[in-house]
Parts: sequence; C-alpha cells; structure tokens
Amino acid sequence: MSLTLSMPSSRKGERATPAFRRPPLIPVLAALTAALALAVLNAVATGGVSVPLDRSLSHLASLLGLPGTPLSERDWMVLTMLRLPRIVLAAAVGVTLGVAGVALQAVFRNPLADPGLVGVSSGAALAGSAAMVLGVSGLGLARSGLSLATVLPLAAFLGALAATVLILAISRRDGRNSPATMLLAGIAVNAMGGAGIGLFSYLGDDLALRQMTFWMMGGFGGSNWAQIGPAMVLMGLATAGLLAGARRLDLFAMGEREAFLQGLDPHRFAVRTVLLVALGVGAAVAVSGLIGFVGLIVPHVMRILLGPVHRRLMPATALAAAVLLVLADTVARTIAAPADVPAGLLLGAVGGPFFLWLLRRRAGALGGA
Amino acid sequence: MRRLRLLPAAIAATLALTAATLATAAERRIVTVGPPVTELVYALGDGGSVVGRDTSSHYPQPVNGLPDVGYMRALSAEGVMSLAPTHVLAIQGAGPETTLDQLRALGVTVEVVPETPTLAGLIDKVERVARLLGREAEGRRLADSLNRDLAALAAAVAEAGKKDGAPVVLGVVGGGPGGLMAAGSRSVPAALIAMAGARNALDVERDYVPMSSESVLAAAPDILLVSRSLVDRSGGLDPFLATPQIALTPAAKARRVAVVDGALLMGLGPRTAEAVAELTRVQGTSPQEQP
Amino acid sequence: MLEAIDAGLTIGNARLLDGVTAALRPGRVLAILGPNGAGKSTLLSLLSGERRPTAGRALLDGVELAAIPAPRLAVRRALVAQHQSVAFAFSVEEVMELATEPWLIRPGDRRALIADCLMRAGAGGLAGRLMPQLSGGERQRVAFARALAQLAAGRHGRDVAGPSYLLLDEPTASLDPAHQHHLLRAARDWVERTGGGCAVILHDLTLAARYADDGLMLAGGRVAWSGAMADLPVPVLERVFGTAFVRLDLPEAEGVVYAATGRAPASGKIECE
Repeated sequence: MSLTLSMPSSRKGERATPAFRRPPLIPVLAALTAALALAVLNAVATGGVSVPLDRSLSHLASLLGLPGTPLSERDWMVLTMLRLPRIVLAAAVGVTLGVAGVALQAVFRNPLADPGLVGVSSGAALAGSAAMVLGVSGLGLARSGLSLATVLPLAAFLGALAATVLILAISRRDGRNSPATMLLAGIAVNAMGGAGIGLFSYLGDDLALRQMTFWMMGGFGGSNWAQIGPAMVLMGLATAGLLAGARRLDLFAMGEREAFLQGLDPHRFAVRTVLLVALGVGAAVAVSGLIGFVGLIVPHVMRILLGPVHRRLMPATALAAAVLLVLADTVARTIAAPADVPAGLLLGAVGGPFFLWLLRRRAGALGGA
Repeated sequence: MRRLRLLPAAIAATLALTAATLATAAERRIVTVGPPVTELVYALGDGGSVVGRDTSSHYPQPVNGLPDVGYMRALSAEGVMSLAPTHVLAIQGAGPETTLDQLRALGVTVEVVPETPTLAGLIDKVERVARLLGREAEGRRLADSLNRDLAALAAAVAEAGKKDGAPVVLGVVGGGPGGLMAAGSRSVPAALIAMAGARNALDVERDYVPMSSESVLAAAPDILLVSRSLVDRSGGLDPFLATPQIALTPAAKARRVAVVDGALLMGLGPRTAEAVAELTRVQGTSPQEQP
Repeated sequence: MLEAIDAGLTIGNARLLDGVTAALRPGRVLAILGPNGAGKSTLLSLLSGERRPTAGRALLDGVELAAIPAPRLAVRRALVAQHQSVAFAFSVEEVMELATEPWLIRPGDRRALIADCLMRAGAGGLAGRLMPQLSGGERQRVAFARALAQLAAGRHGRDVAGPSYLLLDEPTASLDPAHQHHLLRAARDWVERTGGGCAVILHDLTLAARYADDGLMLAGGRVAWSGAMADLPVPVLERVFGTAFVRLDLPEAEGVVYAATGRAPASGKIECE
C-alpha cells in the first residue's frame, strides 16, 4: 500500500478484509435467459392435452418453410389459444411484479417492501370484489354491453390507481410526498381495502363470494390474447419506466437525503416510481389476481447474488421472476390435471416458508442485504 | 403456409360442425359440471358418455371414478380439453366465462343450464338436457315421474298442514363461531322447503345469509334442513345440535332435522324428490316421537 | 459565495434558527461551532438546500437555493452527513461510482478519480468493502471521499461557473486522532486546490483553530460570535458553553490548544497566553 499522503490507513489496527467482488452480470443474465427459455419450452410441452415438444418444433419448422410436419388443428389451437397466452402472461406478470418489488424496496429503503404493502394490490382487490359482487348492472353499465370478464380487469386497474392517488394525497405535506408517510398511508389504505373487501363478501351472494375467493388466490387460468393484450402494454410501459430509473433508485436506496444531495428531486421521483408501480401492478392484478411473494422473494435472492445496484439487480430480477411464475403456472396446470390450481396459492405455499428460511438463515449477516 | 392464412374462426366453425354431426351417442364425450347436471345426464341414461366431472359431482357412484376438472367456477380450458370432450354441460354459474368461450372456440359444444330453484325450473332443466342429448323420450318420462312424485308429496303435506299449520324450516348450509350461513328465499333449500309445503324461516330475498345466534332463535325453526357433510364435519348429529347457535331452537330440542346429501341443496335435479321426501318425513314426525 | 442571510427556520412551535447570517467564501474554511442543539446541523441543511429557511434567505451566488434544480446544485455543493444509511449492502466502490455516475466520464478517468478521492479521504484501503461491514469512522471517511468525488466528477471535462462548496457535519466525530487531522487536512487541501469553500461543524476547538480560517459560534439558534478563528475570545466560549476554558499557545502542537476545564467560568478574564 503506497499512499502519497501521510496516511494512517495502512496501520496494523485496520482489519484487512479480502477485497469484495460481485459476480459478473453478463453470465448471470445469460444463465437466467437460458433458464427462462427452458421454462417456456417446458411449459409449451406440458399440459393436459399432450402436444409433444418435437411435434411443436416440427410445426414451427413447417411454418418457416423448413421440412416439418404441421400439428393437427386442434393441437395448434390448444397451443396458441390456451397455452401460450398463459405462459406469456405468467412471464410478463413475473417481470412486472419483480421489477415493481425492487423499485418499491428502494423507494422505501426497506428490503421487505412489497407492492402489497403500499395499498396498490388491495385497491385493485377491492374494486375487483365490487365488480364481482355488484355485477355489470350494479356498476351502472347494464347498457354498455360489456361482460364481467371485460369489466373486472378494468375495475381492478382503476382500483389500484385510485388507491395510489389516495395514498399520494394523504401523504402530501407542504407539497411533498415523503416515503415514510407514503408507507403509513399505504398501510391505512390496506386496512380500508380489507374492510371494503369484507363488506363486499358480506353483501355478495354465494356465486360472487366463491368467484372473489378464487380471483384473489391469483392465477393465469382463462387467459386469452384479447384480454391480456391491454394489460401487457401497461405492464410493459410501467416496467420500462422503472428500469429507466435504475440509477436514481440507487441514489434513493442510500437515503432520501443522500439522493437529494447527489442531485435527485426525491419527492418527485418517489411519486413517479409509486405511480409506475401502481400502473404495472394494477394491470397485473387485473388479469391475474393477487400473486404474492414474487415481488419480495426474487429481489431478495437476486440482491444477495448480485448486490443492490439496480442496473444489475433489475434485469436479473425481471428474468428470474418470469422463470418462477412460468414454472409455477406449469405446476398449477399439471399438478391436479385436469383441474387447475391457482398459481398464487402454490407460490404462497412454497414462497412463505422459503422466505422465512431465508430470513432466518441470513439474520445477522450483512445488515438487511 | 396455406394453413397460416386460415382464420381461427373458420377452424372453430369447421370443428363445431364436425362435432355436431359426429356426436351420436357412441362418440359423444361429455364433461358435466355441477351435481344437478351430472345427475341428470346419468338419470337420462347417458352416463356412459360422461368422461369428466367437476369437484362437487359425486353422484351417482360411477362419476367418482372419472377425472375431476376442478371447482366449477375455476375451470381450466386446457384441463377440460385434455379429456377431448365434444360437449360440456354445465350448470349456471360455472366458469370463468373466458374458459367457456375458449372451449367454444375450440369447437366444443358448451351448454349452460339455468338454475331456477322452482319446480318449473327443474322440469325445464330436465327437458333442456334431454334435448341436448337427443333423449327427449327419456326426458319426458323423468319429468313426468318428478311431477308425479312431488305432487304426491305435496298432497300428503297439504293434508297434514290442515291440522297443524305449516312448520317453519331453517336451511343451514354452514356454521361458524360467529353465526350460521342460512338459506334465504332465493336458494335451493328454500325451493325444497316450499315443495315440502313448509315455511322458510328466513324470508330474505338473497341466496345465503349469515345469521346471528339471536336471529336464529327468534326465527324459532321447527325443523332444520342440513347437508350430511355439515353434520359430519361437526362430528355427528348430536355435536351439531349442541352448536350454541342451534341448541336452543325448537328444532334442536325436538331433534327434528332433515339431513340430505349436500348436492341436493346445491341445485334441483332428478333426486330432488328424495330431499323433499326426507323433509316431509321429518314433518310427519311429531316433536315427541323423535328418536 | 454560499450564504445564509438573516435566515430563520421555525418548525411548528420550535424556532431552530433565528436571524443567522453566515457565508462560505471561496478559498476559505469556516468552522461552525456551538453546543449541542445550537442549530449547527440545521444551518448546514439550509446551506445545502435541503430545507428552505422560513425567514431570511439562503443563496448561492445570489440565487435562492430553492430555485436551483437538484442536479445543478449537486455540482456546486456536497454535504457529508453525520450518519450514513446502510439499508442496502452497497460496496464502497459502488457508492463511489454512483456519486460520479450522472456525468459522462471515460471509464479509466472515472476509476482514477475514484481512487484519488478515496486516497485523499484516507479510505484507499476500503475500496473492496461493503458499507454495512464498515465501522462508523470508516463510513465517515467513505462519505467524505464520495463528496469529493461528486464535486470532482461534476467538473470533470466541463466548465462549471463558480467554485464548489463542501459542507461537513462533524466529519471527525467517529475518527481516531490521526484520521481527524488527516481528514481536515484533506479538506483544507481541497479548498486550496479547487478554490472552493468549506464549512465544517466541529466540537474540537483545537482542530477548528488549526484548520479553519473563519469561525461562527451558534447558541440557541442565534449567532453568538463570528470572526477570524485566530480571534476567538475565550469569554465567548465560556459564556456559550458554561464552562471554563484555557487557551494555550503550544509550538509543539503547531498552534493553539483549547481545553475545557469543566469548572464554572470565573467572572474575570482567564486568558493565559
């Protein structure tokens, strides 16, 4: 250690910890991309209706003008109408929830923050319940000719946005939104949402009640292209916006004060981030119900692996969360076939204990990594 | 490449046409959703065509050996497709709607049978399913026998009712620490109670309503109508009757309880007369001579 | 010039600052002194633009700080806070890179700049460590290095009108004596090298006398004294701190040494030169 200034830092008292190295990003991303490709291929190849992968690939080849045998029309439709929309939606929801989780954790400087924590999901759930209990006519849309399948995602999305606007309005002081008050407001809005859902379960008849219960468990059953299209656009916009804020999230993760001192307007950025999260999560909840733990576990594991720098963390989290949800949905489709298990339920059953294990294992290590 | 230009709708239409023309009894593959529909298909003699059923369909016995496509309101299109059905017969409320639409698009004939908890609704249901299966004659026979049985029961009850007045029956579909889920006037138990010439204890224009212990007591039901599974979950009839919300009612004190298969409370079907008969049997017993 | 003019800050019923005028001048180090709760950190937060004065003004080259966008402000001033947040396990290297990142700098230059700043802050050996694993003193040195890097990167290859200002909030609080001197010498060196201005909150009057040109004594949110550090009168110290002081001119210590005796101050003069 040759230092030009009279430097005491090479004295004996200083602990000599070996230099710390993060794993390189590119191989990790490559591995995750490969995992996603495998998960998707596996998902394409498995399902109630047997469509072996080699025949699907052969069909693909024939479409491309290469030698290959096309699939039967029924198999082709099962693949493109039933299976692919689910797989694509599961991956997209994974990306959105993973990235949204990372962003919220940075804004609230709490590795345990989750889209569910800021009231976004419960706003969506409340509006969704209202739609299911009141029905299309109860919402005053009887003459619109819309079906519940169209109204439900719309309601859930608007509910998520309404909850967010409410949170921003409550937490606004002196023209600023501090993340701390936003978190508190989120908890309050969550409680209100819970009460509202309770009210609708009380008002609802048996059919609506069952429907609500299943919807809130979360899953990708019944996805079709027409329905997931708009949601995918919104999720894509939100994710792109959040990814674009990666560097600013780094600053924010160091503290609101540090962020300001290093040139960020923290309040405006926090509002922007929360709005983007609401946009993405609202769209995700609208088409897939409440899917928990993804926004919490995946960022947590990726942070352990790659560190907290968001430019590295966010793409890896997006890929890993997509892999997780595609796998979860594949299991959900096959574990009780021909019945469909809600994927959200599976994730909760596996994710909860895994997360607890992770917390215990790492308790005391790296303060809150 | 030619295949690429084919519109999915065209494919669906072709497949639907094929399915309809080929669907003679021998090649018909039916997935039934909802106990009343499942039971009707069997009662009409087409049980051999059934290849799948929903979670709550347990009667008649052979359906238990068939693949279970899951909860009736959370069906998976691919799960159903894996059974290669030509027909999906479902009770109203089955879904989700998107799944049914996907099945239709794949050329499956999807029929949703309305659930109207009245005798007329039951007869209409029988005729509909019979028409779909091309078994109109069997349908007419079943409808006639249902009409006959239920009319006979009604007559017997009317006779008894002249003496004592119509008893008050409370349909209980669930119990918990806070209160009971009781059958309102739009529910299937209410229809059974009406067919048995009794009065529903809960005059509320809803299907199922949570009821507090006090309002259960205030309703003073003479008879309870419950599903066997609820009694079993409580640990038997005695523990069930000892439930605090019920214990003080005249029905519990006199042990006047009609216990029926849960499926009979979920929708009207070919076995509806059985449930009504059980209810009239309990009515016929006086409070004193209960076991 | 970075200055507060007749600035006050009232939050609720609490008047934290009242009529404070203070200025950071290019090429000079200002020591901000005073007992706990005097409003020293509050004054720095006004000068950094984090808070707006509720009375008076806070100006950078005559422009209200509140009117300057955060990114532009970040080129002209940096602040080292007393405590560093460690909610996430950033490495020292990552923290340093982040401070230099908004500006386009060649990767080689960036690495050199970071290494230089770490070395100047006496944190050269910490580059490969994780922030949560560092001691309080080590974190303070990294924070100082980061502030240097922030200001240096903002000027790297660009013309920025006006000098920069460095605000240090008790930067020596968790440091051992050798590092205390090293850090303050580095701050002095930065002032001389860049022509910027520096304000530093210190409790150690001896260090203040050694490294600061000017002094500002706060008490109860008001200015109790201001002037050249060399002229700091002991009676002011005794009045403000409520304890007797001795001031010794020790050639061996390369300057004056202030020591609080802990006794009640005598009414008369106790200067022993």
